[in-house]
Amino acid sequence: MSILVNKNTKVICQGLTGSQGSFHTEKCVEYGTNVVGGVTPGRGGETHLNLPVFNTCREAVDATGADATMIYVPAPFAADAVLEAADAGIKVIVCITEHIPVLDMLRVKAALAETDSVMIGPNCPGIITPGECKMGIMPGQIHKPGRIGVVSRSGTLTYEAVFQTTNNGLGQTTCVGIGGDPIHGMGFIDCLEMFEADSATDGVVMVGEIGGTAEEEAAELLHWKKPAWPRCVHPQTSAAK
Amino acid sequence: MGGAATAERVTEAFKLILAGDNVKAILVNIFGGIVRCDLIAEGIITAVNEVGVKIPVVVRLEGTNAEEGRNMLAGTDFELIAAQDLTDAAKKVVAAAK
Repeated sequence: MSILVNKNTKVICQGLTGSQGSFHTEKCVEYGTNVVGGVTPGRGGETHLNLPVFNTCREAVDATGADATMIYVPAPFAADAVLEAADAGIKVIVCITEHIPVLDMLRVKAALAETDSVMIGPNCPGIITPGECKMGIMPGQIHKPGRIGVVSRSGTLTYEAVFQTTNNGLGQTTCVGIGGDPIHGMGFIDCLEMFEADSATDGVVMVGEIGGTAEEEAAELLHWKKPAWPRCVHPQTSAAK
Repeated sequence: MGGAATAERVTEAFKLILAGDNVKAILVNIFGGIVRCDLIAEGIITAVNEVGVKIPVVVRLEGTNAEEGRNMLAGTDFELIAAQDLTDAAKKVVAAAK
């Protein structure tokens, strides 16, 4: 098992024809991710990396049945890219782009609250379910299918945590880089609750980052039911979320 | 280096660090995601050639294109100290600085 993405997830890439979109989508395809197409306005009808390119997310979803997207669109246009994906009904939106203006994210956060889409990021490495689905910029080869959930606000430290759990044989169920921006999509608590509900996840590594109170809020929620078995069972803070 | 690390930025970083005359050793620790280790290696090689590094340099490369990066560094004349992980790198750089 895993959370959010697996081998059946149909992934598109917004910004597929750009340099970052091309480089990392190719890596995701090599990893085995079920990438079904990409979106670049004005390039619809072309084929790039053997993938069909569409002008809009709506067209991509209609043609491919995509239910997840990774966004490599430059910062000035990234907020609109997220909104377009949600409007097309895409459920998991991974936004890799950094330097998106805070005011843009404020608008996006409010709009997403009205939908049943979740956003991971922005300014994040993405999400990976080892051996099944890699959506983002993380190096695939350091991961290994296993028992540990990883959620992190830091990019490089995510890789350190992943590599250590790989090297000692534990492996990972799913790793989520939620990004370090002040206004972001999924938070620690959302991920911890999903990991708790996932039968294959036996433990969680949570990695913080400087600034904000997300770590304190998550810590309040953690109740150590068994040693090394982080559980989210604090009803008061759950309700306060 | 951040996510936008390029060979030029690595070279520039070396110049900045070497501007201090009390620097005894340099530790480069990269776990590449969006950062490609081959570009970091290119930057280190350029820096060594351009500015002439006379102190020990310990390099730990892991992640995206790490193998390419390591091979590039292994092929240079300059003596770089390769490290396996961050703990190993820290031990080696402390030893080298003494």
